[in-house]
Amino acid sequence: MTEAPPLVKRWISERLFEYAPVYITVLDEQLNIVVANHNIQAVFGEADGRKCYEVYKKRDVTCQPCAAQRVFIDGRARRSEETGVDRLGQGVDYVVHHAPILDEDGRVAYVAKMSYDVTEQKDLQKQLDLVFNLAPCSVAIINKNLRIMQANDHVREEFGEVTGVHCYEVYRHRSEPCADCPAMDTLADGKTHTVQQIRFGVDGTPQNYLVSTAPLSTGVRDQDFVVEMSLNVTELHRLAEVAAVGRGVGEIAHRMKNVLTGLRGSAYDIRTGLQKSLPERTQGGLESLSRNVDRLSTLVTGCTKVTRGVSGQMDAVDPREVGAEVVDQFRDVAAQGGAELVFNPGPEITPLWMDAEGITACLANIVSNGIEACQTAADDDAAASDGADPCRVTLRIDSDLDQVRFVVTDTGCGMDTDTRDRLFKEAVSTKGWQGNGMGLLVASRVVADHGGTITVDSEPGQGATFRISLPRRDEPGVNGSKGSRGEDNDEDPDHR
Amino acid sequence: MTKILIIDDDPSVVGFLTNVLTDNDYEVVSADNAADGLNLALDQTPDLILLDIEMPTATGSDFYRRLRHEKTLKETPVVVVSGYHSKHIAVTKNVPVLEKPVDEDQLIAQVRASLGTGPGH
Repeated sequence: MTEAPPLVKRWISERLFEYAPVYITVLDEQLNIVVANHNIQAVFGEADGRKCYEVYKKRDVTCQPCAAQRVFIDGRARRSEETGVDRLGQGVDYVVHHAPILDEDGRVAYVAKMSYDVTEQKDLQKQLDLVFNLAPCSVAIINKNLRIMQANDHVREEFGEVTGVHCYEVYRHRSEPCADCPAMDTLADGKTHTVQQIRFGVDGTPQNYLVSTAPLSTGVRDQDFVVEMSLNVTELHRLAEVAAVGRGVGEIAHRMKNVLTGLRGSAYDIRTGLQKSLPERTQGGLESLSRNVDRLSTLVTGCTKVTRGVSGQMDAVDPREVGAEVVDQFRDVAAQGGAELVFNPGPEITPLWMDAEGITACLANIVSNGIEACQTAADDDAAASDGADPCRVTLRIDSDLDQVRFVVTDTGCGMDTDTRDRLFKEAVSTKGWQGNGMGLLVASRVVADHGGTITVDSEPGQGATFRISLPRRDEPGVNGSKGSRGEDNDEDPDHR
Repeated sequence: MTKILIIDDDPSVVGFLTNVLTDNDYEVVSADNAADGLNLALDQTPDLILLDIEMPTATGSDFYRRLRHEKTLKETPVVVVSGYHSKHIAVTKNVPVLEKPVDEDQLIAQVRASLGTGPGH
């Protein structure tokens, strides 16, 4: 480095001490301030000849520990963050460097104490913390190993104590990262990502969340943290369901009225049959009475299932066993209806936590609808063609880390857009008086209770494909806090 | 004999209406869907049609629209027998509606009124 010009050298020796925008004092071994710059006087008040702790902290005794004393002992410079009191009694946050000033023998004769003010940054940090906690949504900071480093009150209220635990354990009761992880996407590309996710609260109930992740850096250094904001939209989903249920109730009332008309007819037949001594009519009335009571009972059972879900008995069950049971149940029915029932269970699948009875009922309903769609297609085509390919209903199961999917495809008559759109929302039946329209309503309720989704693709004459996706999770009702908290030595190589 | 056509896909309802009407000396024909109902109407020219609204394939409303385009049938009185509240019905306002569950006295009274025969036809 070149020698500074004489003018500059003089400015450094005479003026820098006063002009530097930092607090500078020099202390002797008894912690007396032997010299202080102007900034010290301006902020902390009179300093010359006073004890360091009196000036910076307005204390009567030495601080414990005292960084300056330790510099006098070992001669090593130190940096620390401290909070002092200014001449008006207000708090001052500053970062302080203690540097030894050595004499000819190499002993520490004085300690220079150089500090800069971080009060504004601290205040800002406090405000940010406040915003963090007051934000009307869950906010969490996640590191590159997908551990939650910091979380606001909303996260703690809904998921318990989460700091140090993997986000997938906390939110979805899983032991591995989710396939649709937006945090991993953000870590990979440094961009914002948004997904809709089902998460399980401390009591295990599924909740719908809208999740956004964003990189937490200025983009200068490698991306190591993600800020994740999530909004619980379960209530919105529920309101949409309530609106749909309102429409469903109208449909159910209509079906009830048909059954009631049937019952009235039964009563009429029995009464007039007896009055007019027409035993055949009386007998017919009794039979129709029994038929209509059965219809009413099916309708009421369906309503109960829609309102309350099915049994709710959750067990770890092999999804392929559930599929096999449904296929066995319907093989003969399909054959009688001229349809081929194909089961493709796929490779071995680890058991899934589910209500086996409920899911069996869902699949049975969809498979039975598929067989009927084949029969309808056959009736429609009867005149037109013969010798065509047999109609086929296929139940396929596949799974990945995140979910298990049951896919039921039929090559039957298909359905129009209107029917398709109302299928899971209202009591829809295309079977007239024979259907109660509750089957798919119950199915969609059972699937929703698993935090899963049910969808359908269909066009008139083109068959239909129903997809049920059930998320994988550990035993419900167990808090995510069972996760391996803290010891962040898992340098998960898979996650950048 | 006065002839009445019943169009309803629910056999319990058809059975009930048929028994009540035959007991009251009406002749009854019935169909369980709108298409067969229209053919039967063209063939039999009934004096009155009892029509259900919610049926698979073509609805009662479709049937009603087609009926009104048939020269021989457009004046035929129609009574809607439905589980839906009347506001859902896409037929004209002057079509009377019997809401299910139908009562036999109500039914006969409405049939007589629509036929213009009054009590004791």
